[in-house]
Amino acid sequence: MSLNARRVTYAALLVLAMVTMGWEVVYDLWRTVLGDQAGEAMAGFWDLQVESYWNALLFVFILDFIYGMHRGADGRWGFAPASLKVRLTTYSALVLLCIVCSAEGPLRTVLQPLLGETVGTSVAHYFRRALEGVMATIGLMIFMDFVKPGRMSEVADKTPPSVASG
Amino acid sequence: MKPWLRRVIFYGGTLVIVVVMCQNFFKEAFLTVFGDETGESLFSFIRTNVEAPISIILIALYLDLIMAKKAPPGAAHNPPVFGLQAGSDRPV
Repeated sequence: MSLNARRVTYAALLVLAMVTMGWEVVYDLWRTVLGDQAGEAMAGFWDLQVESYWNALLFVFILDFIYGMHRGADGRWGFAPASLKVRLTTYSALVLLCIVCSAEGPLRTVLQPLLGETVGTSVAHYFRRALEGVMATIGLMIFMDFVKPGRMSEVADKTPPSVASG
Repeated sequence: MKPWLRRVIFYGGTLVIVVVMCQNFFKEAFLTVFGDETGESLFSFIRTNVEAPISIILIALYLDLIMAKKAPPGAAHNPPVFGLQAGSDRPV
């Protein structure tokens, strides 16, 4: 399986989890498999993981493409961070996403005519629930830029500031 | 310690933390140790942050399964199979 195929599979599985875990059909499935009480608890648990799905999906691709994380020839982790301009653009995009996520009411107003009342309300609420995940990703980016994990600056000095091609 | 054993401890331990965080005995232990008000408050805080260990597992899985053998920028190849060589931190 190629690197890109693995990336796509990972993203597809998480997006699938995002879309389906709050779906009533999936709740019914859990109840059917585990019984009413345990099934309801399990369905609720995975439905509550909105922040986790968003945080993981955003952060791993930022690690991969923005910080160019990779395995070096010696088997150790290495980094090839993108330019400051690219990283600042990423911060801006995440802050914009935070604003979108926190504006549940306006987002609902925009989405309802496009997606219908029920789906529009649901999607707007889902974005609101994702806010913690996006904020966690910004915090992790600040860690990467400000604290710098081990060897990051050393590797960055030796490699051009380009995005890893994969 | 073998890399596979570290992974078993890490993933298994984190999952155990998730399960324990959701159990009623964990809540009762908090109430016993910290008293009703503080214990309830602390338990609620921890219980509502169960997303944290799940995020950790999801991000670690990406590092382990997708990026474990990602070649440095400009390198010629990315091996078409995934997983680490048994007993080694190095990519296959």
